[in-house]
Amino acid sequence: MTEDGFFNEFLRAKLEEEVGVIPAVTLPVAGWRMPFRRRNFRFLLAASIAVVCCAFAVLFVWDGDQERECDAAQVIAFLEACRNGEEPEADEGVEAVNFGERLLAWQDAPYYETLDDVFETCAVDFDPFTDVNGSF
Amino acid sequence: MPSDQRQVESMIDNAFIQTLVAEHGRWLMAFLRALAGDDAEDAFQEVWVRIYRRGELLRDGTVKAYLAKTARSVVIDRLRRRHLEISLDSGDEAGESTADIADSAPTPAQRFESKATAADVRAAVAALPLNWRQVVLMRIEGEMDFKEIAAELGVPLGTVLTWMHRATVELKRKIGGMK
Repeated sequence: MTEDGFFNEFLRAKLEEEVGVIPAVTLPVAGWRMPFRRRNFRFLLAASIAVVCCAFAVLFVWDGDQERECDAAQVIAFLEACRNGEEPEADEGVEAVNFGERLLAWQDAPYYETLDDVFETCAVDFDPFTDVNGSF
Repeated sequence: MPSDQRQVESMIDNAFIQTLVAEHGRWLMAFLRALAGDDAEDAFQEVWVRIYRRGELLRDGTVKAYLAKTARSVVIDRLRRRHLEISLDSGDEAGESTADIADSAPTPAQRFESKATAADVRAAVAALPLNWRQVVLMRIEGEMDFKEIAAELGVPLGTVLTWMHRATVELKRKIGGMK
């Protein structure tokens, strides 16, 4: 052993000489403790899923409600105009489409539910496919 | 008792922690007392809690090196939390010239003999700049090689060797004369 080696051994012995009683170690309750990397990964995965779910919920609710409200008003106005024999205000892109096909377009999801609301609101016996002018 | 290599591969649970404490507690406590002073006992507890909470398998090197690295990290974090100014570069400004160091170096033929007490040694180590002290303790207590110490501290190997050399000279100067 080199001279420095003896010195290091001397230092080690002296440093450990005065340690005395080793303190007792109290560990926290394990609970759901898991390795850091797995814990971190699961947290990130759960957080990501939660964010995506929230985003879908917001988009679905926002889009559905907003468009449903707009579409409901438009459909009601359109059908009432048809029932009254008025010239309905056609929406952009549907002006050239006949009445039946217009109604079919309104029946596309998520507008189908809107159409049901409109039937209940506009008339009891109103059948848009037979009671209005326009080809089907 | 499993070898160091097998311990590296063991899962860290409560029983395993207590086994490590029984086997490594003495030198780890000496390490922390020299590095952290009066904060050593709290740091000792935090080291084991931190290792336990990781719950990970020990991956690299020996158990001693792993514990020494964790202990050093705990001490540094505790010092930072207490907002103490740590002059990590103080080891480079010890005020000694290269010539002074060379002149005071003992001859290789001399074996070290001293009547210094444990308290003398601890005081001498505690008086070292933090960087020197970390290197000395990681080398002597943690039994880490200098490459490992350099990687842990994030400094070049030559810097670590210089700090170790300066620390050794300073310690010998302080306690070598107690014969």
